[in-house]
Amino acid sequence: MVLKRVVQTASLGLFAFAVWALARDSGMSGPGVTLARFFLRLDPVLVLGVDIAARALAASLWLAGVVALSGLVFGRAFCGNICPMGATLDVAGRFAGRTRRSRDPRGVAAASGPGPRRIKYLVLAGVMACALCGTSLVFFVSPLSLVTRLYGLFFLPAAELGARAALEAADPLLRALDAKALLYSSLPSHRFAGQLFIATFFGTLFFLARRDPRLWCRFICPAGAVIALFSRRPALVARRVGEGCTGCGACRRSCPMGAIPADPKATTFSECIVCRACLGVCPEGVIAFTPWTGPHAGAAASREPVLPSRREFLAAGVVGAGAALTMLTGLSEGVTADDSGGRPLSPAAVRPPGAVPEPDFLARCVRCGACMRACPTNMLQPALFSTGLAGLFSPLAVARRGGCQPDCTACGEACPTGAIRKLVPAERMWAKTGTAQVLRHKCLAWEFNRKCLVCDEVCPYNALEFRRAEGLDVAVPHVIEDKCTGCGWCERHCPVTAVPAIRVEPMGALRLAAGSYREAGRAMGLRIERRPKKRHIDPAAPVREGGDGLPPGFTP
Amino acid sequence: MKGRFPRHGQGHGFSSLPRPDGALSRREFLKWQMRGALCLAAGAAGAAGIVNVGNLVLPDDALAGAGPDIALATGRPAAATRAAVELLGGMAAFVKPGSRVVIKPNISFPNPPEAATTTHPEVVRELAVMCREAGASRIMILDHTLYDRATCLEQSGVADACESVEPGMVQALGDARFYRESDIPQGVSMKSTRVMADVLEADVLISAPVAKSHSSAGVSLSMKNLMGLIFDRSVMHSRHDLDVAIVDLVSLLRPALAVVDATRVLTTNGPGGPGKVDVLDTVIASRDPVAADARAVLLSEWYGRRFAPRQVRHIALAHERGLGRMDVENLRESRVAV
Repeated sequence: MVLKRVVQTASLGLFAFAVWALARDSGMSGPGVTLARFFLRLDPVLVLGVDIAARALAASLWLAGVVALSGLVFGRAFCGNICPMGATLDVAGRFAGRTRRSRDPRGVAAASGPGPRRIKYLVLAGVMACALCGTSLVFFVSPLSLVTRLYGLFFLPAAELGARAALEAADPLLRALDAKALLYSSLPSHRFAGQLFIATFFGTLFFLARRDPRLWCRFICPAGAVIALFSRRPALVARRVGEGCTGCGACRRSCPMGAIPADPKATTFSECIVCRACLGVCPEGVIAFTPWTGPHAGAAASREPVLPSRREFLAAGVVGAGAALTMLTGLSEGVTADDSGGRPLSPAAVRPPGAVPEPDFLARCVRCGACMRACPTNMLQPALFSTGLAGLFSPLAVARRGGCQPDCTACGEACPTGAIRKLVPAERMWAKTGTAQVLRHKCLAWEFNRKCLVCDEVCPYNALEFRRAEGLDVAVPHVIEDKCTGCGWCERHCPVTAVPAIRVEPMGALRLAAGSYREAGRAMGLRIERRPKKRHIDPAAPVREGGDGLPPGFTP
Repeated sequence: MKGRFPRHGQGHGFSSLPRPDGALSRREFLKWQMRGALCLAAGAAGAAGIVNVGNLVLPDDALAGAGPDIALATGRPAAATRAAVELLGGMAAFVKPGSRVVIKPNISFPNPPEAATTTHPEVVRELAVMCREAGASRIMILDHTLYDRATCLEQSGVADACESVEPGMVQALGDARFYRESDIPQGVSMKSTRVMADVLEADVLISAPVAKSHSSAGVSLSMKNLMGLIFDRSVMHSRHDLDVAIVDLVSLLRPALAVVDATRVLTTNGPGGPGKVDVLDTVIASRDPVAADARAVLLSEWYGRRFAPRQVRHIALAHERGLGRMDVENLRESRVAV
């Protein structure tokens, strides 16, 4: 029990640190990125689901394979000791004041047949059937994706909000002590769309954790199901009940997984997460976790069925395939590559730079939110329904919140599945995400004849040109679309409120599965370049202050 | 824009310009008085045989009477910085033992020193070392960067250079909690703004900009540099007349010492560059930020041409409002090469 607590706490702490350190401002992007990706890739359902849906074998498949096959040796020890989702639920159970009841709390162990715990295998079957059809539902049920999203988009922003308030309150004290490290520490103030969904989902799980902390792990988790498939006879840590068992059933009542059947000497190993709770409560002290030595009285694998029937498997597969068809035939879903025939594209679907082509992107993206946590300007936000069911919680570049920094490659570095490609600096600005468009009827210059140059001033690529327009006293903005990368700084800083007067849409985005963005962009005629503003060189540029041929800012 | 500010001697009774009638200005009168007081005090102390000059409490202006108004040093960045400040009487003339100092370099851009968009790290470091030698109790090097804070600190080289003087002394502060609302009693356009708490609490403020051109303000020197000490920089562009707002800010913050790093000058395409960089190996120091900036305008060419200080509107406005003098030809200047 102590060992489990230590390992589990360490794992959860490491995980939380990794997700926290994804944020660039913390200055720790290195360890955060590598560790967070490592944790995400531990999830066999996540990796397998993506690989099947995207028809590609990831190099990291071995890691998920190791976790799946760990069942042969350690049973589901991963679930009970390593998995941050399980650890979070354990903590929630402890926090929520779990009520112990005298009778079998789950009412499952004694039930004949596999009971609701077979649901997780059906979930697995459904997700994999959907993946076989080429689309992904992994993000609904992958525990590592869910828990990364919970920490990255909900817990950490909340904690940072609290920490900011605390720092503000402690400011006089910190100044008195001149504790510079704390006094000047800065915390990201990220906000995210879709908090209500995360809060509802985990709120429900946490509420249920009062009675049953591991409800998710027993009934729903498809990753647990994958490991369980290999956990029928764990070679190294199998529960064994020695001589002297009185059959009191204390262990059975303590088991959070309902892995101990009516005869407490037996164990349903595919359900046992090696949390060792039973070991602590046994009044006779006869329970041990030892290497498997073959079936005998003390170390018996329960003969209870755990798997669903063949008919149920098939039904789950049909449901998964049906979900895939729903998305594949949906009008506003981006999962098919069919761009002909005037398929409407959501104007909101501006993806992060380096996002692979949309169908492949949706197949690969597991909605873990790592890119959103890593994005230094808080530009990346989860989509709700603007990109269809298949796009739920996928990252959108919301320029109104923040622009895309010309040198930043954080999202691609954070992505665990290659949905966003890792860009090298030379390629970065060529990964065009869209094109800005001026909404003339909202523009201060175009519509209201007022002098405003903000979009031009903030554009890192000099993609705006101000020209004289008939009937107006001021010069008006035009976007030079082959210089525009869709970075959105113009939209971010446009002083027009509500709908801004310049907006980035996914038009012209360069989405490549492989190959050089720079070469592809040049071939398309793009002229993307970071360079000084022309007006700074050319003192005679129209409508700039400092006329009379003077350089900008000087007076006669 | 023409004729918006008066020429020398016209109007403005409280202008500190030398008067055409040859009468002493108030400032010169005060200086003259102080010089006399200093001699008397020194004489008295010497007679009593208990000289302890360190304890002489005199306004900075009193000591200034003896030294130059503008110091110009040429040489390597660190050496020139030290030499320029020494010409003004050394850092001890500005920083009393135990005082809290804020040094404001320009580290707002994520560019290396060669780009001349940021103050040379060795200039900043030398200033920090000199403040330490003068016995400052707390030295902070602060800026509100335009770009990503960590990148600016790293790329400018300033954080690295000063780390050895004291860890954590260089900070880029972007969070609103580091700022306090402050009235600007002499503000013409900008009447209040949020200023870094550290600056408001400091005893000594040193403005240490790099010399560069600026697309809106003409040049960005020790006065424009102060914009990096407030929270909402953008309203100075959008809500106010930028030049007026810069002068308003100078009237509030009044740096005790201006050190203009003209070791490299970005003469075109400022403030962000890239533009033409002239290597002038010069550091200008003055207790008068207007004079320092005016001297820097004269020192370099801008866009291949020569300009008078009055052609930079915020310099002319600051002069007009009596915050300092741009008529450097009437000021005492000392030069040294190191």
